[in-house]
Amino acid sequence: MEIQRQNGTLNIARLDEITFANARDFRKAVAPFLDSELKEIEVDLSQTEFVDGGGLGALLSLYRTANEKTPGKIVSLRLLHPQPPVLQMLELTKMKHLFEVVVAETEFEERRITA
Amino acid sequence: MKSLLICPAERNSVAALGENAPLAVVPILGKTLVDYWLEHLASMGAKEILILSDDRSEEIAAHVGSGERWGLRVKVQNEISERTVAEARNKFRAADNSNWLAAPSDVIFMDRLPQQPDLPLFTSYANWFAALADFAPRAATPDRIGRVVKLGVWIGLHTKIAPTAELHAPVFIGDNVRIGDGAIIGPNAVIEEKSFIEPGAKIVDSHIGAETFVGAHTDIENSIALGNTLINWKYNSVIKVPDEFLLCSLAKPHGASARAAKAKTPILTIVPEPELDETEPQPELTWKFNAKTGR
Repeated sequence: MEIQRQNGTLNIARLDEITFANARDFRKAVAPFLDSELKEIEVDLSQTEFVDGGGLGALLSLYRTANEKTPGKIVSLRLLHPQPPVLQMLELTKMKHLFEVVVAETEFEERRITA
Repeated sequence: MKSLLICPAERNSVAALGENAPLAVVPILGKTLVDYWLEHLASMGAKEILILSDDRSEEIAAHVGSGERWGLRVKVQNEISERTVAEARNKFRAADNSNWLAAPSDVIFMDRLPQQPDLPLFTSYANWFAALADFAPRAATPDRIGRVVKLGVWIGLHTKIAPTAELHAPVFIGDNVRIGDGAIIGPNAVIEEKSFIEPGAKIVDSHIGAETFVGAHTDIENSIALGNTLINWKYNSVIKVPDEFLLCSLAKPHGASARAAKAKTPILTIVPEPELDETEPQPELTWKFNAKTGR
């Protein structure tokens, strides 16, 4: 996992999977980067192959904790380029509507044609 | 009159559909592909039907039985590979060429539903869903017991739907289904028998397989859900949903899968947590995780 903080933006990348098993580690690793100066969080899911309910819960808890630390402001959480399996879980649990999900449409088109 | 049906072998393009049953007996709008074809052939005057299969033939044989239900004599024959129509015609008509139905109804390859010549079922998940959606209005034939609650909404026997659930035509719901409060079903939803849809779930442009549990407030769109297998036909992507409260199968495991489940070690073992010292780094994991089943 790679965590980078640039001014008000927190970038989290290189996640293989976010599951019930590593949700606690994930939360602990991210916790030190959350403070009142934070404006947005970007989670790069392009390398994530598997999430379960516990992993989605960790993302939700990250969103809530970040917002608790910035009273009066809303920290946005963006999920970048989830692969179709992860996107399916985000849609199933309606989390797609809760967070901003950035999907590169062309990737899917290519995938569908080659499949 | 005689006729011959060829069952599809396993298909990589729709592998997840044939996981629990051979493709010929996967539920489609309350019946199966082989049911629809046997009905069709019986209506054309066939009396004797030979079914060729190379994929779990015993399950197909158990499903069709002797064929009495359709007024037919049906036999299932196991083959080592999927035969083409020409091969089967050569082999079986050459041996005995009298009393066959006129071609092309003498030998039928079941890769589509009857009267749907342009909609192949097994070339992709999207095509499977397209064929089902097209067939749905014609599936509720007068010999079926069910009710039409409003135009385009057909509901099977013993199905209970909460009064606050919303049904948007076209919808086909099979027998013994439960649908909870505030669920949104349709447009373009097919729910097979014995499925359980919890309150607040939304099912649009999707096919829910038999004996499938759909958890509360889940959102199933452009998908095919069979047990815990969730297929998005738009993205052509398949996942096994690891959380049973979201999506799971209600079917009792039978046959080989039941024996395998019995033989398996417990999937989740709780290891006693050592006493924590706040100054020490915490132990890595206290749950043993089975990566294969994802639980």
